[in-house]
Amino acid sequence: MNGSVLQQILLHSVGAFGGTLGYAILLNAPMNTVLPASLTGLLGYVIYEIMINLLGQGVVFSYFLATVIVTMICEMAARVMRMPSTIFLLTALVPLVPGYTFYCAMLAIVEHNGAAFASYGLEAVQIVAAIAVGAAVTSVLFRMLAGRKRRKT
Amino acid sequence: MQILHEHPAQSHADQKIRLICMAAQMMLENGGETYRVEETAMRMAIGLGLDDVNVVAFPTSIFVNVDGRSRIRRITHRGTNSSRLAGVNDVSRRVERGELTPDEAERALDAIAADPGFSQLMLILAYGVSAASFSLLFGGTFGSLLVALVVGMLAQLIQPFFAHMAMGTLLFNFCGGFMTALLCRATSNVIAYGDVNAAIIGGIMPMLTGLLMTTAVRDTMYGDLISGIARAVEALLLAGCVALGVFVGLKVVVMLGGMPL
Repeated sequence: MNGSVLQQILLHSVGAFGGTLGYAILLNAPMNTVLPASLTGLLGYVIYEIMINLLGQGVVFSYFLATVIVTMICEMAARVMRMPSTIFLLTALVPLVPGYTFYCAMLAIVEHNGAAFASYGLEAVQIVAAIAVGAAVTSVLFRMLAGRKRRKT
Repeated sequence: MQILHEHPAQSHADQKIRLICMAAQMMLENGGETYRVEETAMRMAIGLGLDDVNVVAFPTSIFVNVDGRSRIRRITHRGTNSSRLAGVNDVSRRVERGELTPDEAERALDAIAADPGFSQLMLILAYGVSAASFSLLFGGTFGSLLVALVVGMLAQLIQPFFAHMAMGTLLFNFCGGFMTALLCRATSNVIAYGDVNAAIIGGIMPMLTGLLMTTAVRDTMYGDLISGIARAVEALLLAGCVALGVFVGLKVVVMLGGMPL
């Protein structure tokens, strides 16, 4: 049982890595940022899977925590590589976008299943809100702290 | 005498404002957040030795005012191009440190704008790989991986037709979603390849830009209320177009007598 969960996480992390890599190239990301951003995307998804499958946390909180960690890594990478953090965030957050829930909501409409649509739709909205707020708050706090440090020196 | 000296000075000031406008416009057109655009413009203004500078940026327009001289730029085309963002950011920092003269900065910005980026072949491959990987992420079988790869490559193949169109992104999202849903379901009627849903989700994932909503929240938190609302609406509209496309695609297959969902 535990072995199959680990195997699933491994398989999904390959998917998250490849998906982020392709997306980074679609956005014409600078070559030296593609690999760090993809690895961050992979890490974010692994954190989410661990939270959900091994620690038994709720969906929204798992997404939130994964987003916060991904955003922190992206902001740090942006400062190390002297690039806008947007470049890293754009790609690294992509595996966390709730495409599955979004699609299930769509499918429910096609099947005239109002109850399923409401439940999936609400979940998608909650996840998007968790990601948006998590990323925004983290990066705003990060900027405030970094700005203060620069002013002191 | 006075008049002779005034003329070059005025053209220098014009060039400086033009530079600031160019940088700000390129950032907005390629996915820069509003506060970042304003910051970049201010940074360049400091580096160029201008004071009394005001910059206001919206997702749709920029206003730059230097010493009573003002420029307005309309932003009609919004996309995402990370390389250009990084390039403009780099130029603005070098201007701030005084490493670039206005002429050099203008040439550098022109070079960034002229850079075509990855070739279409590379982008087609990237979309395919991305779609296939995401279908793996959402529990796809080997068959749905392959279908997502092919459908994703087709989606990027039609993308250039929408690139210079008004409302191009919206239309592309609709058509891409429609095509993905239609082809994935139609193929499963011919050959049972496994998880249809995973293939469709893989195909539409690269169209669902997750960062727009984050940018919207972040703009709102910085106090750019109008930009925040505008970007939230844009994000909803783009996601809505994908959803509508998928919906129509699935409906068409059902109507044509495909397997029931």
